[in-house]
Amino acid sequence: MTIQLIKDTLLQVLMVATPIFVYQHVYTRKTRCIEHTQNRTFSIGILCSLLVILCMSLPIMVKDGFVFDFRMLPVIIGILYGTASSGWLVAAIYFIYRVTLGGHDLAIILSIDLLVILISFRLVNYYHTMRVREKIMIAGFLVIVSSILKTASVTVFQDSFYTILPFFVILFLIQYFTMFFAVYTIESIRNTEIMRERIQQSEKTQVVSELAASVAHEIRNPLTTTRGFIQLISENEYLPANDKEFMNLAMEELDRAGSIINDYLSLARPQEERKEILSLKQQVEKSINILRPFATLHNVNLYLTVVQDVMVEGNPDRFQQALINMIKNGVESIKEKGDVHLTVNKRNSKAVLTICDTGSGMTKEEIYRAGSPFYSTKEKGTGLGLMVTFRIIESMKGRIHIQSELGKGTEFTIIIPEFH
Amino acid sequence: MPPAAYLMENLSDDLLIESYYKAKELRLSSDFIQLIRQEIERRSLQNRLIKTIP
Repeated sequence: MTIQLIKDTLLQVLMVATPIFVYQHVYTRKTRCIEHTQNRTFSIGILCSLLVILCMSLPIMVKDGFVFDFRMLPVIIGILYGTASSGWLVAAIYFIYRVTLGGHDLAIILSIDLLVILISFRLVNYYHTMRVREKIMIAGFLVIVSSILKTASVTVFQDSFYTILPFFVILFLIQYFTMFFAVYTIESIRNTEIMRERIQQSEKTQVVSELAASVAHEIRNPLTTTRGFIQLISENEYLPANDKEFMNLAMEELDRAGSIINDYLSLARPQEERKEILSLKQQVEKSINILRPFATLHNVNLYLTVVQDVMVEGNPDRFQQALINMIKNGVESIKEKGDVHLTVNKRNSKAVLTICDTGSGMTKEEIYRAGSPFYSTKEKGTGLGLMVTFRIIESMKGRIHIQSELGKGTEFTIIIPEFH
Repeated sequence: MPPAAYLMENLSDDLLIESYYKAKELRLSSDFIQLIRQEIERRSLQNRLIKTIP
């Protein structure tokens, strides 16, 4: 009889645990595509419903007609890891099948199960914000509570209760560990997938910046040559004044092309320039002065409020580049007239700089993609400015936080550790 | 650095050397002077340069 017990238990464990590897196959295909997300959660629903039926059809015969199975595992997993519809599908299939199987105490058992199912539904959103350890505990708790409540309500008034008890305790434990295993495996699979995507992303960025560097190098030489010969021509004293002016204009544009290329080159340049101790206030004032004519041209006012000056460590030229980039973005986002407010402050020994504009704002997609290479919302954008800026702030051990509302404006918050 | 002045191929030897002197005289960008110098050496014309001019 014990052999049969062991066999039945093993069967339940395997029935619940092995399909997780099917789940992996389903989960890792095209997780970004919305259609596939719906398909995926629907197939979780179907899978879990099948498991529920299987579990209930091949239960563990404990003793004296007592019967136990792991059916709540697929139900809870179906709710926690699927969508609302797949969760209800599993629940519905479970109830229908349970009713058709009949048996004693149907009402009590179904009400307890309904309670646990409703609690699971309430927990779903909060569940996904938890860490893996906590998820395991919650899922395990749900399954244990449902088993204990059901078993208690059915057996506690029977005579054989105390002989049955040890069996049930062992089964509950096995059930808990199976749930542990299930949640742990599912979360590992998810993590692996996230890692893989991150690696792909960073490989892409690598390739892009290497390409950018070699293209920039190739272009520099023809630029230098052209500028050199034009300068040669313009230095001719017999050149008429108009022609001289044309030559000057040509050289200015070539210089502009050159500085765009410098932006590109700075992507691939190893960051080994000298670091200095900078006053955040002075740096911001400097960049505001540089950008003031540009801002005035666009009917934009620049305001600076210094609550408290902070010293930070970084390369002054690069930091200027980053500041100018961000302020310029703010100015350019304003269509007709507007303001850009900058504040310099210190919080918890970190320098906090906010750049706030009253411009057109950004959509969630734009915020997410800001800083990706070659992504630009400007007609004549290179798509690399923000990426360079992010790199620079990163190299100063800082972080950038973007908040934006369409039609209202955008706020960049830059946090850099203070230099002691 | 990729081969520098293959774009200067169309320049005659004389003109190339004259540009070199002009560029140095007018103190133009050292990158530019460097590029011309590389082309002169690529064409093996450096012996035509008067050695005393710095």
